[in-house]
Amino acid sequence: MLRRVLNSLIILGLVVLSTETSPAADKESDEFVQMIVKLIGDGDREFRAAGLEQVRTAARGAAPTKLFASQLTKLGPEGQVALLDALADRGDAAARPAVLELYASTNDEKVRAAAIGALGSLGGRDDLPVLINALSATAAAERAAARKSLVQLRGETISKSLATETKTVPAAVKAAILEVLATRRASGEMPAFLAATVDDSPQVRSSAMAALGQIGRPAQIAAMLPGVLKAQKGGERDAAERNLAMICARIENEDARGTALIEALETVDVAQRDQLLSLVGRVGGKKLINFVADIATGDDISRRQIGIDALSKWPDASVAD
Amino acid sequence: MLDNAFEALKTFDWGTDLTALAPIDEAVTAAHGKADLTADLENRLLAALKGDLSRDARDYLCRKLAIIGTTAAVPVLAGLLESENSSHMARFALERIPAPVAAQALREALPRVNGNLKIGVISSLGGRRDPAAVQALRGLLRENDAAIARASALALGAIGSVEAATALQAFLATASGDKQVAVDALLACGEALLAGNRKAEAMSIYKSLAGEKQPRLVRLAATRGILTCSGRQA
Repeated sequence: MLRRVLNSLIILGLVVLSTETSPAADKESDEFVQMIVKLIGDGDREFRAAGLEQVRTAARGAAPTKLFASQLTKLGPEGQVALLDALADRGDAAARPAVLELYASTNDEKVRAAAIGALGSLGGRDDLPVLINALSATAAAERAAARKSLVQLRGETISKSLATETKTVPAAVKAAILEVLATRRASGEMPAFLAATVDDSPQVRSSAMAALGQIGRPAQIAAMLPGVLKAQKGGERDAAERNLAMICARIENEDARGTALIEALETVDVAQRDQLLSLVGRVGGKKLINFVADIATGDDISRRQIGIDALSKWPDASVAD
Repeated sequence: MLDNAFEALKTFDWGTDLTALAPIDEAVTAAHGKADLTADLENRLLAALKGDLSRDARDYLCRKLAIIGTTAAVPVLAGLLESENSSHMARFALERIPAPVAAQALREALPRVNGNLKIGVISSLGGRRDPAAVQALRGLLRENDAAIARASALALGAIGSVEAATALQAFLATASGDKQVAVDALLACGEALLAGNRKAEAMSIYKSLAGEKQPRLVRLAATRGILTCSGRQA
């Protein structure tokens, strides 16, 4: 029994010895961190760069991160921007409070943009209000940084939260969030995209259609038709049709592509379908030629002309075969 | 074919058609990893080198010996070190022959040569990173000929051992005048030691060069060195 207790004590001692760092190592580590801190504040750009490189990669752990971040308030704007970039690359959320504090206290446009940019890798869901607010900042750099950070922000619920925000924010911000969601490939937020295709704001509608053009699937074709119909004739309608045609093009089989669009067109009334015949031409294929040809040669004289117009504007020569 | 090629060597210069020597090149390639073929070919190359040849032909032979040369080639090459015409290419071969006697031949030639030839031998010892040359190079740091002193400092930097660094530090502590080359060489020692995982020794060098009295670029290099050492320890 006694031997077992002694063995246990020896093993425990070895474990403690192997996990605790020696005082000498701690001292070296402290000196290293202090040297980096000193370099961050150096007047010479290259010495500063040497320190910032260490901020990016060395002396891991929350305590050094907080110490580095605490230097933000001691630097001029140029130094603040450089340190914010380095802290962002370091990617330790322990720097986040200092970054937010600086953002709230500075009027320097470059510093504000860098702070917002750093939140992309340091922040989380709690930072959505700040970042969404920055989407309507006066300075273009801050708006761009906010977009970039919203794209970069990690977390399973970020896209869903952003989609929820689209219901309440002004049109310009809504359009920006839709673009962010598209870049995030937020395919789980299709209802938000589709709802935005019929928004009253042309900017929002255009962003939603462009987003769907990037990440939409054939299942959304029918639901996008009201958006195409609501788009103003001209540039907006043209772009909307192109985006929908891009989704159709994701169906590899030509016949299946034609069938999918015809089935979608059957969900709208005849008058609306006639307005969408130019879209049919963009998608192309024999099945759709026959679909339009039936209208062009049908009994309804008023619709015949629409069919003939669509065939005459067909994007390739296949219609002549 | 090979006999014809050696015959062609007698009248060779770099302006003639190199295809005549192609069999020698092919024999060098074929001898790779085969001791008997290497020894035969090396003997033929050395026999040719001892003959009455043009400078270009000697140049060609030294280039081949740099590839396949062994201990056997060292005495012949060492004999060429004191000649203005052939010293450079003899060093070219001796620098690359792995046998320690090649380095020894260079060290032994050091007191016998002067001027540019001496600078060349010093550089070759640096190129070989010959630790046994430190003692001789240490003495040459204080040579009146500035070019020789500079070459010695650079060679010590290339050797990059603790002993080389100690020699350079001792020189820097006492020398007057331009010390820049020695400082550069010491930084090179720091890098070599760091690469060899001798962090404490490298750190000591960098700390000695990080003071305010040093020129800005030296301080910057030393600071980066300290950070690298510390970063690896942390």
